Amino acid sequence: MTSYVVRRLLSVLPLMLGISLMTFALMHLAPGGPTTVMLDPTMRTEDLERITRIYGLDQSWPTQYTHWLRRVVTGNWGRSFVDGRQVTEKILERLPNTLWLMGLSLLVALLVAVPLGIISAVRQYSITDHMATIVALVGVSLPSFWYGLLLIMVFSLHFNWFPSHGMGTYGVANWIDRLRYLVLPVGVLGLGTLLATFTRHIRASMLDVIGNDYVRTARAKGLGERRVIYGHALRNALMPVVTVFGLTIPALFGGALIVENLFAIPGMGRLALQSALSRDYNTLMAINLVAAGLMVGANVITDILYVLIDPRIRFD
Amino acid sequence: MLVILLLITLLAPHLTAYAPREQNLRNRLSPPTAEHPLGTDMYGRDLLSRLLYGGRISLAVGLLSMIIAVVVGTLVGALSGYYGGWMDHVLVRFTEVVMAFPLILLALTALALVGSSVIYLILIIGLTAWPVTARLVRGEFLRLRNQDFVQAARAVGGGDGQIIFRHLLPNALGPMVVTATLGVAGAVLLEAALSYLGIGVQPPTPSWGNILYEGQRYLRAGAWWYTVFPGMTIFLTVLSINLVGDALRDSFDPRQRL
Repeated sequence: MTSYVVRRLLSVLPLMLGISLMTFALMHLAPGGPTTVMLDPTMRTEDLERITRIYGLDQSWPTQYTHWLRRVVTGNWGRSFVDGRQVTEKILERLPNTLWLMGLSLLVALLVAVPLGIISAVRQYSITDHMATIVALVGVSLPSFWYGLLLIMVFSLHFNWFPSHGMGTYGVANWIDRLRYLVLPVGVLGLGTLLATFTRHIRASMLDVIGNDYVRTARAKGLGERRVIYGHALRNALMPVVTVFGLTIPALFGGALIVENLFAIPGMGRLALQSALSRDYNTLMAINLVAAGLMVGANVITDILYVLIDPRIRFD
Repeated sequence: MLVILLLITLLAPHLTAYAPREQNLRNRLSPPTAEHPLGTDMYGRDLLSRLLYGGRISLAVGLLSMIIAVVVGTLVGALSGYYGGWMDHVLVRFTEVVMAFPLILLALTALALVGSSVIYLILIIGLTAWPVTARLVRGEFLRLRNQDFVQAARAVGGGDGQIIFRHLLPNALGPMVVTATLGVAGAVLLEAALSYLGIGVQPPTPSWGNILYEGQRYLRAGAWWYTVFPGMTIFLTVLSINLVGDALRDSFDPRQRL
């Protein structure tokens, strides 16, 4: 087991290297290179040359990449082109908001999707099943930003129940207040595409499991339907769903990006858009790295969890 | 439904009396009336005609970018599934790297680097959305590669290109069509999202996303039609493309439902 975990962690290295290479390549894809953004029409040629030299842009690609990589690994991610603050600092103050949003949405999606998926599989072709199918179809087709705007229209502008934007008062003092601000964003992120994806997977994998011999055996020996479903079938049905978990992280992050901008939540996604609009490459690159890193981390965790909960799997 | 949608966007000039950029400042933000069935926008432009013309852009971006994605994805998947070995190893790793980034973040970054234009938007969505196709084609090729008919084709002296294009690809076409169809829905959504965020198609060129971007600012002022109709258009379009995709999947593979 330990050796598997170690090997799984090591297998991340080439992937992270690839991710860093791609991020670096993206940055240098810009026409004219990264200096063009900082260009000031009044700048003299000597100044441009000086900047090019300071940032090491006159050196070859591989040299630049290794230098950059060394800085990234040691935690020196450079400064924002816009306000000159450390990029790491800017991201760290926003990361918690994004993680809260993503985490709560995952939780809400699972809380609804698990029962919905189970019921629609157990009572295949029932009304609940048809409803689940519709939820799944609508969920993947609904543009989250429009869905969010409709919720704002109804719940904040018409009924005035929930605030339409912001994150509430800062600090730990007022949790209830902060949660109130998160109701609509989590509703959009959790009860949209995410819910649809999970419901589909849980239903499919539950249907798979129900057809198995051991489920029939459990029924044959006279167990009640409840015991059969929740005792025997569910645990096996949820296993493949765990793998979906890691794969949904990029989509979840993308969803959070839209939702944060819609509800003006000061998270990473909002920072990403602001950086993109102001062409703040350093910050943008760092956000890309963090987002891809989150995905890789989530996948490692789900893989290890998978081995822990499913004793049949052995990687030797 | 989808056919109707394509038709009405193509026939847009005959269906509406207003040009999409024709302003009428005296009739700003008018609710739906007999003259303007879906109301007017912040410059008094007819919302219906803007949605019809915007549909041309949105659907074109969706279709063209998916064509690029399918071509690139098929190429990568075919090379990696057919040849295997180190080429497979490298390409699979590359695909994994691209998939680690959230699609919208990658597109956002690329657009910030090269600037927003419809052409770039098509290229960028196409060049970021290919991994799904690549993985699918690779899987199909691995499954088919050692089957008897492929061995037979090789035995009678078929070259690599001939085997790939004449024997393997046609057999993988079913699932590819399904993925491509669902991919168009995804691309339409992505374009709408990027334009909604203000970094996709730039006004005054209408697209469903940027009309919504303008519309949300007038939500508080009570101009509900300005937000409801563009979003509804995106939703119904994506829904019908997804329905077509699901129907195609059922007809290709009846075992896989939902």
